[in-house]
Amino acid sequence: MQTAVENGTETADVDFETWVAARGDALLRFAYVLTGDAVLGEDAVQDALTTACAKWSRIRRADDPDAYVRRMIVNAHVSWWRRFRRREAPVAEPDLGAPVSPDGAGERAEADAVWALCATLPTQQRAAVVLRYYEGLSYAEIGEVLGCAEATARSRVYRALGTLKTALTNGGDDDD
Amino acid sequence: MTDEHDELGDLVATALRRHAGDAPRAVDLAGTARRRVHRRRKRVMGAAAAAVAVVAIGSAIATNGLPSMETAEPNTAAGADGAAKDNAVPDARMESGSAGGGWRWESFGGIEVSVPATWSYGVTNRPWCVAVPAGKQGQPDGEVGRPGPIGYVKCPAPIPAAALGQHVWLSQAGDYAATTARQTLGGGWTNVVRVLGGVRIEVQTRDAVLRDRILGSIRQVSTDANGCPVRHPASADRPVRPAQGLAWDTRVTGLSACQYRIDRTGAGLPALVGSQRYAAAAATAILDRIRHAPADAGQGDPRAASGGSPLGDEVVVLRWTTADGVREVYLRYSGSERNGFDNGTEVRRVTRDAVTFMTGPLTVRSAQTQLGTLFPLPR
Repeated sequence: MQTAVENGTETADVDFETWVAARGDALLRFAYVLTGDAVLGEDAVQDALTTACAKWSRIRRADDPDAYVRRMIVNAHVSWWRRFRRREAPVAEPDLGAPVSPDGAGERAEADAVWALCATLPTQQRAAVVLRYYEGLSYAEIGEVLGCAEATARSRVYRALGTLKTALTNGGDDDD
Repeated sequence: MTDEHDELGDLVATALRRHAGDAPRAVDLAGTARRRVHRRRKRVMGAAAAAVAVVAIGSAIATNGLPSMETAEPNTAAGADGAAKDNAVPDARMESGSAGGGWRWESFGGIEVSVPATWSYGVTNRPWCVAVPAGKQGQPDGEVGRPGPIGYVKCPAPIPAAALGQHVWLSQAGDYAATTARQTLGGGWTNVVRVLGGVRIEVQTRDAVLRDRILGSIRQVSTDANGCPVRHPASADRPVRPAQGLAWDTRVTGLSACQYRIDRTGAGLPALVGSQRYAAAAATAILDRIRHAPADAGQGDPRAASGGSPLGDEVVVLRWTTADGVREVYLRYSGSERNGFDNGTEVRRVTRDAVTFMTGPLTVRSAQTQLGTLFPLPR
């Protein structure tokens, strides 16, 4: 059973070490999904936690410290990528034509293909998609995190899904 | 949003949740954050103390006039502590090779030069001045380049305007056709070439202050700011293995990744071509990926056999910080034998997952084309 700290509902009187011990793995999972890379994700988390550590007495009294730190992780990643956008990250060639099988192998292959395609999305679009479908945020909340209008957040998600749909459709057609 | 997109959204949510389980586990995140905060505060206090010192010196000069004895003034933030820096090992990945004040060190062949920390890494598989790919012309933000498999191509004259950008380009002296020490390229661009210790350092920018600061920072070192010795036994064209190898289950608190070209001269030249420093969390994640690679007999790729030495063109020495001191793993990947992560007693296979750290200054320069399926590709 999760504690109140582990599920992110209780932080006001929690010290930094206790909070990180409870939430660290979840933050790393979020950052990994956001960046698609374990090392980059860990760097983004570590940067965010360093800032949070310095301001912890203020942050722990905030309405939602968890959301606050996640916002820092997104910003750290987006700004890092903006600075180093010419670096290329390794992206596995997605297997788009995996057959469906009753034992779930096809679903796993499909999830792997979608994961690989997500890695090809522009950083802002991927961030919007992760916030929408991994974090379950509303478009207004996504706009707040990414510092853009709600309509822009919606548009980024929509365009990302359009790209994924096209790639998945073309991948399937190629195999016909 | 259409139903079709809702369905795709569900698929995306499933994919993201499924892969979230592959994320690394938390290791001492809070402790690392506290140490970094402590270091930042020390730097801020140091800067404040320096500012106070400047004010004090200014006051002294105003009171007593200029000192009669001429003193050597450090010409860059980087150059003042050259000797002490030689053995310094920064502890955080994002501060890798930090030269302070938003600058970082880059090393090549026993030479270090500091560049703005925001500069990226440039094209490594061709000289900067030729064959500019569409959409990648010019690098206004600045980049650091190192030679790739093609190193002996003469720059065209005149150099295409689209190829002009801000950079520091590092190579062995003589890699490219001879150029004048200072060349004006038009459009305000100036290209300056300095040769020191057999290394050719080319600085190109339109900003004279920036250019002088970069040129003024150039220095020779025996160990670079990322903790990499510029000479290493692994760079010899002999099948050496680590004498102080890292057991795969060791707890590590840092990593210096040092890339060397294989020195076929046998003269023990400084063969370091790039380096990167990783803090505890990143080092642990990298080791974890290597540990999970399959055990291997250390054989090579027979397709590389025609490339010359069976050991290939380059080697990466991973120098791990542990409670017992530095322990090493050699990564070979471009030869026809002995490829793999070698800790002196066992070899792990080179997998795509285990070499994702090979970015930026650590780039595969070998001409062995099959490596492109394993390693992050240079631009």
